[in-house]
Amino acid sequence: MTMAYLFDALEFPDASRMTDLWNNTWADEAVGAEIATGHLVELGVDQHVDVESDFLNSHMPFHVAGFGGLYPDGRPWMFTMQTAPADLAVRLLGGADPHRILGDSLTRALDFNPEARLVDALAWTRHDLVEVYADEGNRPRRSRPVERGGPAAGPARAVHVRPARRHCVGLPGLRISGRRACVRGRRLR
Amino acid sequence: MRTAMAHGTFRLPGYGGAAVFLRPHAAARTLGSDAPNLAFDVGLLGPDRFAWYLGRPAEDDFLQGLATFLFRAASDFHPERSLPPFEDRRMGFVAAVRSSTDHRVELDVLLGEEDGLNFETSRVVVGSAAHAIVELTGGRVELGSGL
Repeated sequence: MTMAYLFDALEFPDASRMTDLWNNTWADEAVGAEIATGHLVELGVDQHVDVESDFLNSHMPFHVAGFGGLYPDGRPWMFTMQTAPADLAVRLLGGADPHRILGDSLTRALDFNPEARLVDALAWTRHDLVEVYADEGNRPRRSRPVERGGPAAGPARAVHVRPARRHCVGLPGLRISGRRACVRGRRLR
Repeated sequence: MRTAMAHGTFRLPGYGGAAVFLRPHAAARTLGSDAPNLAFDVGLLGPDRFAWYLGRPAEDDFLQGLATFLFRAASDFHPERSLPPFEDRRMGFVAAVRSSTDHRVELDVLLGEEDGLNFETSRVVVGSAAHAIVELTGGRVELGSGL
């Protein structure tokens, strides 16, 4: 899932700008299924996106990536995503919502920036993250082997992927730009 | 500007999860003086620790000196060479620029011999922090003075 895709899919007001991208890879790579969250945070007026995003993400223990920018009126925002092994969350929290562990991680970090405000939260499973490619027309392909010395094999055969129901989320407080923006996943709150 | 201040607390954030907090309050009596004085709770935050030092009395011109230091740290071409460390002896607070680039400065903040923080931040943030002190004092501190 690329940042550019999300910036396009989320309903940012027209003339919003993306000015920062980050991918902090210090966390161990997950083995097996992962869960993921995305949190939209509005920063304080005149806060510095680059510094504040690095500051915030430094206090989050999981794999963090995201992007930030400015609304048309100059107010800064950041969209930060976290991933964690699904089994870890279940192990630590038992039967509770496994995504909560990631939400708590962000809430804890936000305590260090009283001007930052959580606007919206999304939660994804591995299934959601894989299916989004199919929804966008990038279906997994199975190719026939290229015959030695001959032309390339014929058109690849698409593996049928059952389209999942898209879950449209609007970001409260943001002006709808006119286009239909959907992001698979579910709202955390 | 409200960048570096919320709820009356000054905040200077940096890369890597570092931040310095200053929360002013009136102290009815401080060491060596029976007169009411301005004291500060000083918070030093890193990615793996957060320590508050409470009720540190400061010199009367502490905020003026700190605002001037931050303003010059943000605007001098090479503040690590041109800007002497700022020190408040009463509080034991020292701030110094260790290095800089066109966009960033590396700061050392020491609180006596008890604790210290070294971190990098943006010149923009440092400049905003200087303005925040002006706001914190209701305009009593001016950035032009003492330069």
